[in-house]
Amino acid sequence: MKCENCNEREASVHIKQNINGVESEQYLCPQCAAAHQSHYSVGDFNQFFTNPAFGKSWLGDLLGNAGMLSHTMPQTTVNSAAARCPKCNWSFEDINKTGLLGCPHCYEHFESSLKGLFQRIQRGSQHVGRKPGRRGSEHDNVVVTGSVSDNNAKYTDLKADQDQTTQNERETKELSPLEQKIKSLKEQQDEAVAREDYLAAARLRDEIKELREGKEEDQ
Amino acid sequence: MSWYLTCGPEQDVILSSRVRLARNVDTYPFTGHLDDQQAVELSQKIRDSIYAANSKMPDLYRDLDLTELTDVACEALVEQRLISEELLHSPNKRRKAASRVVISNDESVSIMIGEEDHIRIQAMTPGLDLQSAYKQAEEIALLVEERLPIAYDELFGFLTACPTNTGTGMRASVMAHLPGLTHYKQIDQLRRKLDRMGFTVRGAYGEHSKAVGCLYQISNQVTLGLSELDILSDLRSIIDQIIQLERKARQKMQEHSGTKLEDKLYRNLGVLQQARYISGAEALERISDLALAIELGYFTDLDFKTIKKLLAAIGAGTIQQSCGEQLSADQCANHRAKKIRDILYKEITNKE
Repeated sequence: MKCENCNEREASVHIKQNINGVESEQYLCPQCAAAHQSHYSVGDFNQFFTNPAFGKSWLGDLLGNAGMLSHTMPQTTVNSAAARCPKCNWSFEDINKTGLLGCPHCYEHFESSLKGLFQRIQRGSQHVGRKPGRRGSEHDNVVVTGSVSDNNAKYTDLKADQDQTTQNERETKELSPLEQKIKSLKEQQDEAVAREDYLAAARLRDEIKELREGKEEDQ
Repeated sequence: MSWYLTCGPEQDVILSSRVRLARNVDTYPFTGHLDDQQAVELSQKIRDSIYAANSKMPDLYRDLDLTELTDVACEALVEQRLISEELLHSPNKRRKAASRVVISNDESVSIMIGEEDHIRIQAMTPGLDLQSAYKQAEEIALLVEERLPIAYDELFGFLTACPTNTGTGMRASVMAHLPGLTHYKQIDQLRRKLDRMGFTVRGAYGEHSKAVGCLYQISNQVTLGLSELDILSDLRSIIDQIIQLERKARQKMQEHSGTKLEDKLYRNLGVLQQARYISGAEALERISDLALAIELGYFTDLDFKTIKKLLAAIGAGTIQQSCGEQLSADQCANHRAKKIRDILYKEITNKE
């Protein structure tokens, strides 16, 4: 698919917005997506982190005082219901201003904006490290150079792998068919993110969301 | 013995290694959004979860409520890197109500409660030994994760207040002494190079531009999209290269400036042995030169343990705490000079 903005390069970024209640979707190439992002101010985030000298709220002050926020930010982050995290009432604007999220739920609520941010400030948005309550991570079957490798055996030992298999089996058994479907979609989504196929990842995310919402209505 | 007085691998370039893990308790907002009651309740819960691990915990760890400590005692904890400035000088009073720290007896592990994240676990080791530091921090993380619902997401990993920590929540760093690379003005280039690879170099003391005493903190920036061990091994291989470069630079320095350098380093020891008034920054610069002299083999009756003792003794908070009273900057400078003279005298006479 060609980029909807330049009609030249291949589209690989999916942008979904809600402006004053009107939903819109765009498929863009990385270049146009970057321009799009910086237009909507979140692009300055990276710069914000490397400029502690300007104090915690300089970005917010800069944009707010110039009246730029209300004009250029998608309204979804300014005054619609989705603009604030339902758990802590924190907005994406607040995150931009302070550099901090309000509560763990903010991650789910601002997921798509955060994914864009993580593409810029991190190595993608898929966690590959260890999980709570477990040593090491499956990703870490690598031999580390130097003296580090001596201590590494602990993380790759068979017992840990077995524990994990049993845990996975148990989880699968306890899940309803719908939950299993969500789980498998989530895995596909993770894989899509890992191979940087964000288009597919975005579709899978929407599909998961629909299934989840359907599930809640059933209950 | 306190960990920071002992020596470790590659001690001539890497003074210490540190790993920090950030964790938050699900169902509570991040620290800045807690109300007073939640803050105190959560702080207690976290503390209890650590102490509940086994019956020996109270013997191995001590638990300090920062609201009950004097300013000087708090400052000394910051100097020993057991707590962060952030935990201490939080502008948000709600946080302060719940600020505490749990410290292991040898002071190598500290668990800050009520920092930017609910839990900040930090483990330090002498020399270059990131793996041991990580293992120690992971042990504590496991304790907490087994007993408390930790904010974790399959996609984003461990959820932290700041998106620069999301994922592993891990910051691994080493404190490097780089007088050679500093002398040949290589630090800016190193900084740019590492920045592109996702690592940061900054002065360990003083403001970000100038590093006092050629001491630098090198740490990972990326926390999401790489596993803990990937980050550690990347950092490790970078540090290995820096160690080689630094050793080469020192050798070159010695070859090129021969007697002049030797003279400077001997005079430096003279000043440290005789000074009656010395500021914190001057002390760091001079201890850095003393370390270089020891590394180049000039003073055989001194070793890196001397350096460690000196570094641990010169902080304003530490000096005031050992004097048991609040001192002016001038008084501190006077006490600092005496402390340095005493340490050097003891080290040199004991070995003769």
